[in-house]
Amino acid sequence: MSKQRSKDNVNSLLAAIQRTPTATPEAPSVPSARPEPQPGVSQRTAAAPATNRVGKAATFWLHDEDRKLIRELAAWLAGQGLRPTDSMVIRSALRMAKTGGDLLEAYRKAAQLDGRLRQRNGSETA
Amino acid sequence: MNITLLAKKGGVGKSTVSILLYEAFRHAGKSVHIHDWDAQGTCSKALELINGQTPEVNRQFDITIYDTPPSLDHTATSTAVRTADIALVVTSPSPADVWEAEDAVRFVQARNSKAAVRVVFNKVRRTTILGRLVDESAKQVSVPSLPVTLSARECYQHAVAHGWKALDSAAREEVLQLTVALLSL
Repeated sequence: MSKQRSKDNVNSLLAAIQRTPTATPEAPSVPSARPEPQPGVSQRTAAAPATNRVGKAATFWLHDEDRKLIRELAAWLAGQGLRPTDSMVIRSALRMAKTGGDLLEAYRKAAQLDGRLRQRNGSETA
Repeated sequence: MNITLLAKKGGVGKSTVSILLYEAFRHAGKSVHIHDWDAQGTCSKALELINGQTPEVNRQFDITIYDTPPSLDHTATSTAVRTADIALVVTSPSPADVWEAEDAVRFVQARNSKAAVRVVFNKVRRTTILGRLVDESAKQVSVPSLPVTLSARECYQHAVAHGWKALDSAAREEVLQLTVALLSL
């Protein structure tokens, strides 16, 4: 009798889970190598093949904490089947960054670590 | 929905709970996937035995479960926590494990303020003193624990190799109650 009751409970719990909507995270849009031309953008600009561009080397001052953040982001991207370089991680992060309070807060946190900036302008990090 | 299971130490049953949740969701008709980021690879081995899961990179799942290394210093743990909608700190009724659980809760709160953080007590033996004191132990942690605890059952160990069919009715009921509790958050 109790076995039957337990079975009924299991079935009703399964049904409850089936009915519960699970919000699926938005699929990360994978940018194609050759993006579609945008309206208002000249055909010449839009059609420029991005794969031929190598960019220029740049020097940044990174702290251990910054490198750790890059590693964390790279690890997440690796979980999506990508094999990103540090440059790609930084370039991706720049593309999703927006001005606002969050950026200001992030700047203040970064500035707290920056010894050179602190020497030059004490009020910046205060 | 992303569910991250974490703990500061090993042996509390993260991988076992991951597999149990995976099986519960799967049997409820949800598409579910485990990212096994623990170097021990328990979940990967288990999934291969249960249904031969191979990672499908581009597919979207109803539920994604992250099984993390038994360390809060590991990059994989941070990454999984940042991704989480629900962060589930797995612990046992042992006082040492409960202390570590609080550290894990703070770790999540510092990295992902949007995630729902809950503690789940695993390996509970209700007939023992520690088992009876679970509700008291839960008060030592700064976030609510789930109303469902997982008992110490041998069939849970078997489930790692044999999946849902290794569980008896009482165990299935317990795991499904845990699953419903998670979905209710």
